[in-house]
Amino acid sequence: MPDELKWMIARELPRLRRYARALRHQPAAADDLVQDCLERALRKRHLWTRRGSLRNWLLRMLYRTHLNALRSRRPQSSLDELSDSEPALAQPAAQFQRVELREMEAALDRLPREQRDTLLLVALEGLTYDEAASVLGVPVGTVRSRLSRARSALVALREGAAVEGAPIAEAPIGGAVNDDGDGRPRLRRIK
Amino acid sequence: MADGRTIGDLDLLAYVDGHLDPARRREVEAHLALHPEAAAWVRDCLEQNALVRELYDDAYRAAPPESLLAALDRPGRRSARPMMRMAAALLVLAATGVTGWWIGKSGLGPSEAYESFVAEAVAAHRSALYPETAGIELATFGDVQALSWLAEKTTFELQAPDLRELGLELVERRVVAVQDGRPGAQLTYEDAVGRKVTVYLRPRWSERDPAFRLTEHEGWPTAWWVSGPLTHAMTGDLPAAELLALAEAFHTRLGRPGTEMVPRIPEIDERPLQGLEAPMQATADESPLAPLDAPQGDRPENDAQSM
Repeated sequence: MPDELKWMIARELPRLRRYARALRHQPAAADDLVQDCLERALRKRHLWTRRGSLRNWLLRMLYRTHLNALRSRRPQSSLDELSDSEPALAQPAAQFQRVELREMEAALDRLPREQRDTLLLVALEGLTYDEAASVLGVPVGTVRSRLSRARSALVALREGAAVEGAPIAEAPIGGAVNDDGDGRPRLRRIK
Repeated sequence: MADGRTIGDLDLLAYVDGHLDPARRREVEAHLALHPEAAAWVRDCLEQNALVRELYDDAYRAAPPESLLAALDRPGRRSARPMMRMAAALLVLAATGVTGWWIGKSGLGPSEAYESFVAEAVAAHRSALYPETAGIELATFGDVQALSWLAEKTTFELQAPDLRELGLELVERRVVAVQDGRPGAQLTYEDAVGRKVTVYLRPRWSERDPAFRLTEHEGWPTAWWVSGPLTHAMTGDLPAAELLALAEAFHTRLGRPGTEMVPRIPEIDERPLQGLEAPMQATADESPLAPLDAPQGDRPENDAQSM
């Protein structure tokens, strides 16, 4: 393959590894995902039109590869089960010295998969909402609502307490985790 | 544009993600100053961002493993070590003595050394054909696995090449030494009519400390030396004594079996390449906010990209 493209892809490896690590937790599984993604990207390199960012194209490839792997493993299970949260929590506690890091990881694992994947793209990889929408294959409004829910859920999880009402000025977008029927969200502690 | 619209959810979200222009940011910040709950939410979100990045920072900072870089070289197959096959092929070439040009050019030593090697290879070959023939002293190293022995000596993992599509079946692998010669690995292949081809492999290690030689090419000082399975050349615009000292230092650190060398990935240039970045087409947007300029401030890792 042309060396230039190979070099450009190599530049993106740290980002891909980071997102893969966030998706799969285990370093070996994460690198497996990146390798599968690279092989897929090389096979489909003719689809990259050089308009638009290679980084986002690769992230999209990575995410699709990840979803395919999830589907092929256990199609009938809830995808939430396959977030690999168990192995992550089974890692020695010394993995993250700081309590707040461990708590953040645990809280992230409790989010619904699509919220977590979206939040990671924006908060971790710094994608704009349009870019995240393109990588995930959803409308940009969906990105916003998932983000809002994910963030509010994380606030609640990290506080460990029920938060009543919306913390912000107007009616929240798309609600939070639970709705008591009066249109105002109630965030409860998630066990 | 700052036009005094009410600060809503979407503004706070955009503020957290750095999508607001300076004027709008100021408006949001003024709002936050008056609304502690909203400010707390924003603060928590910014903390979430920082923690998430810290959680996975080591995956980002670490140099990607060789296996991933190699995957770029071999599309479509999970790559082991593609370079190793090449090395094995070169070893084989050297053993059969075909590459006379190589000996001459690199000045590695008198060709007598290789003539005696070839003689030993032939003797070993004869013993594979006619094992019952006495007449040469042949020591076989009974239990020693020929290829692991080679791997240990050369620090390469080698596999006996599969020549079945050329009609040859691998029938024997052993380590032998002919008369007083040094031991080598011998692979024996056999074809359908019983003709045998043997390959004799011997690590090309040098027994002495390598001789470091200085030369110059087109003005570039270069130190070169032969050791183990490699020929080395170190080039740099340095005084001779320094270059030699550096070559020795490099060689000492290089020559440890099992040492992994991972090239350092250059610093990531965050800016998009000219001509390759096109702004994403904005999708139909139900938000009252118009797409705005690049993210601000507190996100050192992120590109300045327009929506």
